[in-house]
Amino acid sequence: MKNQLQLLASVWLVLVMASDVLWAQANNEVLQAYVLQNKTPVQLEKDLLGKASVLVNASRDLLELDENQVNSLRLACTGDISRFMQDLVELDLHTKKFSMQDMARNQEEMQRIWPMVMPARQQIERGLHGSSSLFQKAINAQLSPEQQKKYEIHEQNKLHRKTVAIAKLTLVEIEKKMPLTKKQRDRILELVEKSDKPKTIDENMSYYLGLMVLAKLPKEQLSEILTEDQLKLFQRVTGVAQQLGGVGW
Amino acid sequence: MVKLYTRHFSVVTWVARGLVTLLLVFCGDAKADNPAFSIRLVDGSLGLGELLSSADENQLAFHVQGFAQPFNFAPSQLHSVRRLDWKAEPGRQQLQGRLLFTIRNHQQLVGKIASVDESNFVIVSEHLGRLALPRNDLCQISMLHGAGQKIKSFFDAKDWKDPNNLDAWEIEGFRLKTNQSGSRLMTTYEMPQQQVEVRIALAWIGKPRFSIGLGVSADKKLNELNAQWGIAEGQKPIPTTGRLRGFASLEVWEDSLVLVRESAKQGDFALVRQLESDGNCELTVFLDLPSGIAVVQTVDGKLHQLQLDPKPDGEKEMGNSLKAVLLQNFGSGLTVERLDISTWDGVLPVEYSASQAVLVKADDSIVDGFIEGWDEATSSWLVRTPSEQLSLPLDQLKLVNFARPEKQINSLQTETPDIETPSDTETKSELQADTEAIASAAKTTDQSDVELVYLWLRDGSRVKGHLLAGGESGLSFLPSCGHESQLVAFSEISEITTSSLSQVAPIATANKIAAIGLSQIRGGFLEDTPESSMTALHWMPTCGLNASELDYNFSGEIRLENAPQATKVKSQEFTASDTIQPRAAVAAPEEFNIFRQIFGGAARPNQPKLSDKKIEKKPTKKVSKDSQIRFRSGDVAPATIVQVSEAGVRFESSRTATTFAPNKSIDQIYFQRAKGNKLTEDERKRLLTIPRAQKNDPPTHLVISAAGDYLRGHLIEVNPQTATVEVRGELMEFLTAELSEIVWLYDRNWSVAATKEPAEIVQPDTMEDSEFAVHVIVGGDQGLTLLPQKVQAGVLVGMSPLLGESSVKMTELTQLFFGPDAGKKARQRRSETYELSLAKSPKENTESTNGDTNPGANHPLVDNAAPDFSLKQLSGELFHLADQRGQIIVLDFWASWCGPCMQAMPQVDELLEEYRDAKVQLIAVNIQETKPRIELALQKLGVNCAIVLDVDGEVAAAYKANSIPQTVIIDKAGMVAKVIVGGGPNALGQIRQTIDSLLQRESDPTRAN
Repeated sequence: MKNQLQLLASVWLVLVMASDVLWAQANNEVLQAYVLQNKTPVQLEKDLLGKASVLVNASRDLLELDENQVNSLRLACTGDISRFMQDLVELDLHTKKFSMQDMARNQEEMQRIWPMVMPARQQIERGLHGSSSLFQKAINAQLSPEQQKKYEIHEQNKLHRKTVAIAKLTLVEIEKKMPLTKKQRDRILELVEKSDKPKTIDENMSYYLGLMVLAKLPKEQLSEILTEDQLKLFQRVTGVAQQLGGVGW
Repeated sequence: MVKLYTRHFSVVTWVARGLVTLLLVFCGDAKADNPAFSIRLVDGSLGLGELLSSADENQLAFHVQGFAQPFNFAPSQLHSVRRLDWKAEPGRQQLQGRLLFTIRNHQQLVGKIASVDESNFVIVSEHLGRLALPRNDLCQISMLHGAGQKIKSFFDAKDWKDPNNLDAWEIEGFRLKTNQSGSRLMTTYEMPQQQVEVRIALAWIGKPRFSIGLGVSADKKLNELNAQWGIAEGQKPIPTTGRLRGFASLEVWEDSLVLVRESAKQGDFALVRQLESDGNCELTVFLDLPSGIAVVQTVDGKLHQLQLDPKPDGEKEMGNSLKAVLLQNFGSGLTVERLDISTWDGVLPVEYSASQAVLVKADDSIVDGFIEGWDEATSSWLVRTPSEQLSLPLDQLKLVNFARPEKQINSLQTETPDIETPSDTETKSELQADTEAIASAAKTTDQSDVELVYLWLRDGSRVKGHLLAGGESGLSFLPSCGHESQLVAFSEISEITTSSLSQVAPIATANKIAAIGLSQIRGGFLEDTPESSMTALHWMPTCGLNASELDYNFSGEIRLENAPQATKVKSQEFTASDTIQPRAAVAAPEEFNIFRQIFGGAARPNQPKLSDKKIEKKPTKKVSKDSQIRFRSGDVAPATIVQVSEAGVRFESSRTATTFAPNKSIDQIYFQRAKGNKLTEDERKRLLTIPRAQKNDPPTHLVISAAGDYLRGHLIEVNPQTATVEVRGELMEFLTAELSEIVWLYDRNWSVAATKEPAEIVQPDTMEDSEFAVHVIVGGDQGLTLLPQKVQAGVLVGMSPLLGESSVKMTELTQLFFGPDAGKKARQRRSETYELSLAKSPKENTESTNGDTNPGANHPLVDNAAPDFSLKQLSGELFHLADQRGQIIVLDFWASWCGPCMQAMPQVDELLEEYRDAKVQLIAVNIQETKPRIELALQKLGVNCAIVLDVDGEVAAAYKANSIPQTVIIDKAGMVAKVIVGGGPNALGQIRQTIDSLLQRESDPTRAN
């Protein structure tokens, strides 16, 4: 009996492994490369659920949520993930016949497929529980005004830290063209810390966020820190971000 | 004696048929009107027709359209009977003021109260009479409200559209079904009141993976998406979605069914229930768009309510009255069993799982008490409270909820206490458990309980009881809560089920199906038919108690194996794996002219010369046992071919004693399967396109070898040893054992074919399509149209108009068409793979003005620059046409499967050898064939010219080589001088003439143009 059970367990294990392998084999190259991050859908879903659990637990601790609220947020996160996985099923239907080679060879197909793949790719890169997610909608609908305020402040702080970090990275990039002394760098970063940070940001614009923050630094104070040539170069580099939208200050 | 009997039988049958026909003439169309009911059986059968009373107790009679007599079914074999014309259902407003009594075992009764005593509530129902309900059996009493007019039903299947254009959904009976993951389906409905009730029943295969969007602003969202991706509406798939969420949606997240109410910024969710693999569920969803409420009620009565105020988000769709239901399947398979959309009055149904006794007044205040009596005089309830007795007028009490034990509330099969009922914590679905419980009940409980059915009336009543015998205008029914039988008019019956709940029907597993219209009845034929039978074919349903004859006036289909529903007899798909190799060539003697005339070819002035080559006789191989004759009538019979001659085809067949069929009735004779891959569409088109030069003498037959080669020509004779074919004046002989198929290419009216309109193909004589006939299919391939006479000892005997008396063993049948149009269906199954067409005439190509009948004479390419191309040669080197300036290039478009090409190319090659020193080069452009195949062909042809590979057929397209062989002569300046379509001596002469002319022009420029 024990042997039979062991045999059964082995067969089951082999089947599970085989199904995972089959999935990986059957998967379409386009999704694999652009969306699935070289994971099987099963692995991806598992990872996403793990991340969601961390998010819900952190929210519970931060906002002192009751059980119903936690359950609601947990359900919302599951919904975000399930919807994403369902979207992938449909995306798979449209893209499975294409190989990466086809995409590279046939620009017309590439242009047809890419607009479908791109949103899913962006979504997985940014996380599934952003501003238009069910998680966020559950936060808006299920939390008390006090909890929402607390959540808002938390999110603002998070955005602030993110903004400063991105601005620092952008400054490093600028330094490749325009070396700064340690003193200059420290003083600019001081200005960054003190500057107004965006309250909202369209995630599409996060790439330009650093430039936007640097572009908003007051010219008078910058002129005290940078030489005239440096200032001109600094303004030229950051100037492109002056007119960009997508960020609420 | 047998003959005498048969003749006698035939006469009786024909006389009877005549009488019936006369009767029909006088009585009008015997076909029933639109069926009023559908019946579903436990084996998955579905029938449409009329509900009748049975002559026997505890049986239900149902007359399925397409059968002559009604079937009787025992309740244990019944799944449900449902009214189809839902539009005739009364609105609930007509029942305003009546009481709805909810009774144990999920019964409910609409009626008026007559009296109340200590033990019973006596109720008067309009259709079920006076019923005494024991107080302990009552769950609730509530006042009926208005609304409930159905505005959409699943039966409007034509309204559904597939936004992805995947053709992934199909209608099976009244189910909507898909096996395509990622498929979507959408229907719109008018919702003027913006309050609707949606009743949904679903089943799925594998893990549940689906979503149902309710209240989706369909067109707007679809158009937005289409515009976003630049896709014309309804033309191409919409890209990935997940965005088409409605006012509310039912979605499966992980393994949970969740009700989602979502606006632009807010979301609320209710976990409805866990779902298991291969399961089903039934739900009712209530939507109130103005107030933002979405409620779902499961079959166990539980309510899950969500409310989001729509105003803060300003949901744009609120003002839009056209809404949609969007079904999306992401799993293995999904079946929509029911989807009814009705108006809703906004009053939620009572959640009847409450275990406490409650009296709710019209002003929603609660009264702590119980009903003690009924005052008929004042129409008031007498209510006992802890402190006093109240008299509450009827309209003052909104709801009475009776206390019940928790087990009773959750129980779905409460009639039999022995049966274990599922608890809330069990993972099985309620419906599945319910179905199992019913099956279990059939085994373990009193037989009489199995015979009980639930009768659903149009007024909303749902009562359990026994079916009684008799009753012409209605069903004789004895409610289990009543003492007297009642005759319930058929017009008042909405449903009959064996379960208290409307449940998802089982999926059929049996493989013998009588399919008539939408009806699909599992069963089998009787092996012996009574003498009085009109159609000889009697069907016995698997779940039925009696057999019925097929209706003389209906058409349908019987599938006796897992044969595909609309299989067509397919001719072998051939490709040339080798060039056709005649055993020897002999010239046609004069007397063969007569054969050509008979077989469709006209005698031509240039008769071939006699050749002294003799056929090398090889040992005769036996002809394959698979050999068949395929008739133009659509009949296909196994046959050993004895001879084909100008008289017709002589054969021997186990199916019939007839041994001869005229040529005009033959479509193909088939010997054995050919090797090789399928012809592509282009290859087939080229094969069947006849050069205009041959329009007066088109080939009459297509001979296909076992190796997959083919040849167009005029068939002269076939005998068991050899087949003789005349091709372009030469006689070719083949071993019959090496043939796969001979196809009769029927004459066309070529003068008509030259225009856009194809000539009508005259069908051979066949039976009148007004007679009841059957077309039997054996093994999915062979078929015979018969006027059935009898079934005896499992053998169907009938008269074939083509082959005389014929017989087929019933066990050999895989499919059967019946009805007056069986012959037509048989002809439709006949493959029309080999239809000749005449090469199109270019606009510029005005024929016969100078005696040049070649269609390429005035080809549009002539006098224009030759389209440039680069193609790989067989040797691997690249050939670039533009690099060949200064040479006369002769492009010969060919393929190894093209007989005329194979004939012409060596001749052209030989001709051009004469011009080798004059810089004339032959380039043979092979169209879309593989290298090994080309090499094999060249080996046989013995030509040494350059071969270039037009792998994609692009060069052939550029040179408009629609029919081959086509020869294009390009002068030294790269201009097209001549296009010659077709081969033969004329073509060779034209090539020579053109090249000479070009060379002459070169040496004497003054002659140019």
